[in-house]
Amino acid sequence: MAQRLTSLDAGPDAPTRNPVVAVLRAVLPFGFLLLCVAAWEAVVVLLRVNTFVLPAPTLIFARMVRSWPEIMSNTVVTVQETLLGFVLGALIGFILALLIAYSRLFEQVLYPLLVASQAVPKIAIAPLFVLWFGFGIWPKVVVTILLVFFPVVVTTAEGLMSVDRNLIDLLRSVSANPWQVFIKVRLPHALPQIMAGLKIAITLAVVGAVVGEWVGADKGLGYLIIFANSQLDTTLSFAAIMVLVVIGVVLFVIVDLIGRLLTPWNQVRTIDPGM
Amino acid sequence: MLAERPRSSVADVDSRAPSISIRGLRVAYGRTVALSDTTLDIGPREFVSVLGPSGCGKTTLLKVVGGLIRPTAGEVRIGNGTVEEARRRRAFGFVFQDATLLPWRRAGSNARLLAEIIGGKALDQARIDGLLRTVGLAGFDDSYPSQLSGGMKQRVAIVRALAFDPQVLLMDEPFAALDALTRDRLGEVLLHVWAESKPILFVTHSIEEAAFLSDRVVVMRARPGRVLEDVQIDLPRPRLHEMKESHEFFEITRRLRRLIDEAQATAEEAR
Repeated sequence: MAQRLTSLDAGPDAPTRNPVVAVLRAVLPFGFLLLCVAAWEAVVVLLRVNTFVLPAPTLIFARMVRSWPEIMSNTVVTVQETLLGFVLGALIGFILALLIAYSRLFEQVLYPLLVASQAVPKIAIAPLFVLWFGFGIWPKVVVTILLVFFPVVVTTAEGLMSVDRNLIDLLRSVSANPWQVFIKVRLPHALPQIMAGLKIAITLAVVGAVVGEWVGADKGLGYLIIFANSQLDTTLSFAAIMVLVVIGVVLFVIVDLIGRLLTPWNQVRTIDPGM
Repeated sequence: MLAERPRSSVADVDSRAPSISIRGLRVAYGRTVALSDTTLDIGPREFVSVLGPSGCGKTTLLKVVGGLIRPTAGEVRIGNGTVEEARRRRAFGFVFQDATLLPWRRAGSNARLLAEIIGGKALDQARIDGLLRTVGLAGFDDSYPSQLSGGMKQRVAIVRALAFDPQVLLMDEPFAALDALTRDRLGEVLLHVWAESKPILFVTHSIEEAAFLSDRVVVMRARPGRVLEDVQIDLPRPRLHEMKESHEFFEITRRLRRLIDEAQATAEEAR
């Protein structure tokens, strides 16, 4: 990224130049994680906790390796549900946000309804979706959509509507048409907020897929957890949960990365020299 | 329309410059009267500042002239046509107190925004590059607004307003947020790019700024906003920095300060 300093600028808030600090910063989160896992292992071994209650991390890892094909095939299913639900939910959320941002009527009628929809516990209505959409992928996708669309609606609508009044006046003064105002100003202005909404949404998408699977499924990591619990196979249950965590983190990182690529101006920061 | 003449510089004197005529203007929001019985004429190449305490309707006046606010009564004419006609042929170049640059566009791209929206012949990259050089932004095309100082951002905003060669410049306290030194410098930059080529309506609350830049200073009073006095500034052009130390300049600013005091006093009575 081109960075140019002016004589008035104090300098960029750039990542630190000190290599030791940089490495420490990158390693620190992993180090802390490792510490937590080690503490977990220590507690289980020292207190001789029963494997049914809490299996040791090493045991979970060994199980993950042993049951890899089974875990993998279920992972593929859950990831498919998650991604399909995320994309559709984000799309629906975006369209609803457009309606809200461009129509006062929709804002007044739709918004309260959307908020109310979030108060409905998804786990409680999920069985209905099985009734309506069968045992296939769709009830899981629908639960995911229900969780995903809301943060996207809120952040997108707020972003589209929070454009500076003077900027809109400026565009009016040259008779810009609504499409130009949208594509040149409102959408890019909303983009950082939309990406923030999508980051929340992607983590919720994983939760949605698993909740959907709990209610009625014969495959997927959510199904695997339910199955393992019914067999008192706590180790397998934990193994599945670990994989879910990894899926959640990886998808989040991907969305975050896309966001950074789409909003390069947000990554360029200089200390504000004041007006 | 006159035939295109070869342009000698970006600040070429433009024979399309219209005069502005404001007649019996009144703007009311419910019971609040923002502007009352305002009549004002601006010549085709005249720099007119509007000076007054806050709440005197300066900004309202500017927005009515630019077609952003519809007056309750009265009329504004740009040349021989209405404000709406002028707005439709993109006659107005606006500059606000905040530069209102788009943070995702680099400086050069920000300067191009309005010309790009208008499209066609208005989008003249050579003209925009020339203006960027004239205001001292050569080499900063690729900087994001977050990398520019307040003064530089406002320079971009001025280029953005001039990029499509509007017939009228409307400026709402464009330098109010800047420090005194930057402010003086930008005033001179503005005079330079303007080059007496078109009418400017310039809203400010700085007496010195109004006196130094303008041909006429219109002092307004508040509650309700209306014209108190129209002061002719008889300083020669080009305006030079040294003039600020002259006796004439001192007399002008003293007179303007008295008028502002008066405006404030009448406003307080009206409370």
